[in-house]
Amino acid sequence: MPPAHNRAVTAHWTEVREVGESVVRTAYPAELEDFDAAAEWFRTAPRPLAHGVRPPVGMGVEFASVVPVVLSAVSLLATAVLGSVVEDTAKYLTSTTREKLAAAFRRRPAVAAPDWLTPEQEREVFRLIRERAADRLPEDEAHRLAEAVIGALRLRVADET
Amino acid sequence: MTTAVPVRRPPSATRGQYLLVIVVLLLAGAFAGRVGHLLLAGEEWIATTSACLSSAAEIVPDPTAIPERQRVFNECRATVEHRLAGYDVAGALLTLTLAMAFAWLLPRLMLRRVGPRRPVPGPLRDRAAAIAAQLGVRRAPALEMGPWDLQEPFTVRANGATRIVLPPGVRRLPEEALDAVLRHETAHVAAGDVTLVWLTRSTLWALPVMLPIPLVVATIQGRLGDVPFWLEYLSRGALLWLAAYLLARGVMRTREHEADTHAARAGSGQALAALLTAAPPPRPGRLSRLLAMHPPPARRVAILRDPSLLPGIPAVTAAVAAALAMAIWSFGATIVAAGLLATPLEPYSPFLAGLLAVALLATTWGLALWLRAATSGAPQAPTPGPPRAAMLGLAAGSAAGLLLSLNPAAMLTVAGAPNWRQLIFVPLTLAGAGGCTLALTATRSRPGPWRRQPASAPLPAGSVPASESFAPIEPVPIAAPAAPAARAMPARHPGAGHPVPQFPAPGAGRRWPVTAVLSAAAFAGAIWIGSVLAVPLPFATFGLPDGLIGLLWQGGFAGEWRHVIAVGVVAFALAATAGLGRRAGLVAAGGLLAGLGALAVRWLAPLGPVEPHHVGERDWWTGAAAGFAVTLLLLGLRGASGLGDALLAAPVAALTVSAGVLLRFLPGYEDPLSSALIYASRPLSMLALLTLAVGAAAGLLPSRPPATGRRAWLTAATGAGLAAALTLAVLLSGDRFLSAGL
Repeated sequence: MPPAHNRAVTAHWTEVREVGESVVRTAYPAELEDFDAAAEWFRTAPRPLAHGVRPPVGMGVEFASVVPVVLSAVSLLATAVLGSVVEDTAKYLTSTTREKLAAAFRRRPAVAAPDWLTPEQEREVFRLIRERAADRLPEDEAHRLAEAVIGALRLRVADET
Repeated sequence: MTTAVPVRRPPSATRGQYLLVIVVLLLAGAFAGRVGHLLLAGEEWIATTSACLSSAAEIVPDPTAIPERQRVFNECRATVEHRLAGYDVAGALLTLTLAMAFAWLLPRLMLRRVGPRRPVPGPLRDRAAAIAAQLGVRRAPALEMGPWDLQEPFTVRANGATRIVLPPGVRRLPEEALDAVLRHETAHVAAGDVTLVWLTRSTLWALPVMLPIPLVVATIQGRLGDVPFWLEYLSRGALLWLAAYLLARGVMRTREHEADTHAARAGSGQALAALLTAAPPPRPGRLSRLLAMHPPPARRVAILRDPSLLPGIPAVTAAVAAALAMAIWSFGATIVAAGLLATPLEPYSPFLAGLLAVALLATTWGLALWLRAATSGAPQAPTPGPPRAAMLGLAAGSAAGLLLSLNPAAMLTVAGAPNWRQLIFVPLTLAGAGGCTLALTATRSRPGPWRRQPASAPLPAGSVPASESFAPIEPVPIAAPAAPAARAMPARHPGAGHPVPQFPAPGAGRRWPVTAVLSAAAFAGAIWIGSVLAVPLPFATFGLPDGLIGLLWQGGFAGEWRHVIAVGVVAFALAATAGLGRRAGLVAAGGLLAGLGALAVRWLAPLGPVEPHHVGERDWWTGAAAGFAVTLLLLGLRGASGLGDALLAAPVAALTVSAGVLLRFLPGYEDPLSSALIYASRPLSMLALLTLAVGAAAGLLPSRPPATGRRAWLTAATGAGLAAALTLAVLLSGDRFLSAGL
């Protein structure tokens, strides 16, 4: 049984993993080789990702792997749109956005393909992902990751249609 | 791969700071031990002491036979005093043991908290082994990949091996950046302090465990009624913890800088600067910046570019070192006195405590600054500017140490009243000694225009260009196609992309034993002179000018250890000669000219008749004035670095005067040898006092390069004129400087 903080992730793990891999393949190809191991670690992680380990005798420069951050951001989005709405994500996403994103995750477009997220809806998603990623990444990296996640979801819809 | 000379690290200035950490532990333990003695054996101590007092009065009824009565009293109470010292020592050893246990345990706990680690790919392991060989590490550390949420690389020794643990994210780094990370971490291994650093951190755990033990005992005994006593105990304990924290912070920051510079020496300067430039800035807020254990990335980049910015000893560490030295001097003296009571070594207890205190200052302040000067600049570059903050820290720390001494009654009272003079004179003379030690490092400065060498300039002799000292490691593919460096490491700090300079060769600090001895001598002299000045004498008041002249007499001519101090002045002059190199002859000639100028005034000035022994006093003042005039001139012209020249020129000037007088009146002396000894020691002893008085100020002045050619001789002539003028002013002051006028 996965740790309590990962049960929501496990419920939609297949979707989270696919989108996460797509993001890493596109934006962080150097880490693709480690994706499987990192993803498995993330699924069974003994502690929430927010509690990343900073050793007291560390170098003072961070080189955290980006894969868990990608998966964390994607799982947040998946949980928000596929499961019950998490309280702190509700303020970011409208119900329409959640419906469209749920379809993208499930590869079942709710509407016609051209009716993908509007620019304003994309901004909602962007803000949510960027805020989550900014806990672990520099601001510009968080920005880049948010763009990559939206791009991966957009491709997912396009591939399906 | 070709065999090459390893890139060794320069001598570390942090060693003395580890000593400070151990001192904090020992002091805290002894402090707790003393309170423990009070609780567990205090009543017996009071009863025995009281009984011995009565017994001594009965055995030696003559109240004027104080030494004999004291001897009997001491022999009687020796047992309980030895037990008191035993509690102190036991507390100190227990705390040290506790800290060592934490130092063993904490890295293991940290590895456990980090979580499972896995082996790194073979090519990466080979690369790390090559880098270890390059940095002179015989046994390459084990390289491990940490869990996926590990943020930073770190080095630790635990479970029988030294390990470098990398976060998986390093695999997306370009090769140069990965080399920089490996070199930085391997530099920690090369520094040999991977275990020691945990002793530093364990102090923060050991003190909160050890210090409350007396409180627990008191609670069990129901003796917590004296609230002010326990509040004072806790506040002193808190101060010790704060000292430990500040020391740990200083050690952690300095060792990062040293690892950076070692990695840069090995060829990773640019890559390391790029990594640090890309690192996120520290958390906002002045307090968090102040308390942070790591130096800010921008500071690390700045020091990589200009190693002379390394402070040698941070101001806070200097303050803590001085405060701890004073605590050792005061509290340590009572421990040693109790332990040695009624033994043949009893008379030496203050001396032994003082020796420990000055050794501490010498190994922290003295060595740190020497190493800083020896390793931070190429020969043509200027000696780094004076660490003003550290100078102020030294003075403030010693004053705070005296004020907050663990046993204030031992040092700060005269006849039961606080001796505030000690809080002024001891810090002043200690800061002066710090300035003199600093001045020794300034003798390395060279004539000519001072400017930093651009990184593109040819390397000076003695430097170790990485390309020559070590054959570049064959590139090994480590990761899948890496993100472009510019993308992976966006600039976050100003100045990104500036060149990182080459570094001077190690080995420049080989004279450290001499420096340690000289620093210890300077600080010992400072403590002694400061204490002598603090003793209130009938004529020595703060009313000027007689009070000031009285003070000068008290600490300069009349000091008990003036011969020893004169020897110290000569030793400093010899050390300065060695540091000055070819310029020593010119500097000594300047001192000779100044001495001759003062001597001429001594002979030609129309002076009234005085008692024969006052004639000698005029001669001593002439010698001291000549030397001091040279010191003032050099300070005025060259700032802090002028004191380095003055350490040679001023004694030469003073001794020139003494030699001239001795030669002139040689046939008239009954005991020429004794006269020579007096004429050699007293002016130099006064010169030492005057130099200590201005030494602190000298440490705060900016340095300027020495004059050359005609300007150098013009300086010497000015020195002679100034020496003559100052001598004339002293001699024509109506004999107010003579002992008869006091």
